[in-house]
Amino acid sequence: MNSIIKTRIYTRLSTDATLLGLLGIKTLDTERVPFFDRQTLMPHIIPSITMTTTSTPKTLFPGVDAAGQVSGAILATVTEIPQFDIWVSADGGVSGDGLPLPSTAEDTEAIESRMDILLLLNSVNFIQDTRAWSGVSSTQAMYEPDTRLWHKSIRYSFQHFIMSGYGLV
Amino acid sequence: MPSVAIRGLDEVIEQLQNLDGTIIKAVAKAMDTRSVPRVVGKAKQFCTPGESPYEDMNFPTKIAECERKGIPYSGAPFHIGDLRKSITGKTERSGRSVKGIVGTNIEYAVYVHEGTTKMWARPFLKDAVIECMQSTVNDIETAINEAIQDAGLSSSEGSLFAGGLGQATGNIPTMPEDE
Repeated sequence: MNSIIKTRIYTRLSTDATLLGLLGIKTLDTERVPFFDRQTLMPHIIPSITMTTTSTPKTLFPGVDAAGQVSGAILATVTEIPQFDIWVSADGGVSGDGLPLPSTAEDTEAIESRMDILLLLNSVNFIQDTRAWSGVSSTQAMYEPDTRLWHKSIRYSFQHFIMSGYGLV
Repeated sequence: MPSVAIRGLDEVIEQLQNLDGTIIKAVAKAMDTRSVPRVVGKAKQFCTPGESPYEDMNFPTKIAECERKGIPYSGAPFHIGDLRKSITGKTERSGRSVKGIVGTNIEYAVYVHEGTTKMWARPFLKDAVIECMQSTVNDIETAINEAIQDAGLSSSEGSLFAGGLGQATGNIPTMPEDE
């Protein structure tokens, strides 16, 4: 995924007080931000929301200028389908900020609902330079007995353009 | 005030109304015979060792299991073939809506598809749908064009809108051909 877009998505999530509250966070500790790319099978922070990007279909076509004339620029419509995984420990407890930690399947659903609002329903202010957001899939909360983790997987789809010579547009 | 006379509009509207059901039927048939089987085939391919895009994925428990059983490691979501065998598809038609459905009824499929703390996600269904997206659109386009041609609404010069309506109104410009 384009790194600029990715940063903007993480910023959108990490600056929302409601979402942070659902994760048991009052003041975000920059050393332990619970939103990150999934690099390892077991996330190093729980609760957390990890992102994995998989296939990204790209369509190339000639660019056009403001007058509708074909210009030399090449536009690429990039369709991103990021997978977000919500990880919650069934052990629960209280966070360092004194807030209850999410611990149930319902808690993962509440987190998902907040993400939907932040990414899908923010019709006034979508993530900058992106468009056509939609929900692709959402699993039931899956419980892993050995790790005592609740796991919910959500996929969204959105598009952005890349124009040669102009970077992200 | 200038006036515009449109000849043959009633006939065109009647033909279009009759065409509605024909087009939906043609699209449903295309989905059932071409698009859905293609997605099913692609999903099964993604669950086949040697053909799967997930071959090189880090999958520690599977590696360990394969080593213990002395069978070759494969990152494809394949052990004895139950998952691959279970992938099926169907087409549902409801009113003016046509829906192609591809899935599996295996209980553990969701864990394979979405991943866990012990294995990476291998979204064989989602990736199959994406890979077949353009060909599905092409199937639908072909089905619609064939239905229009069968109904006799297409002229020898082009599609319904370039030829039929253009002739009826006499002043609708044809769209330039795609390069």
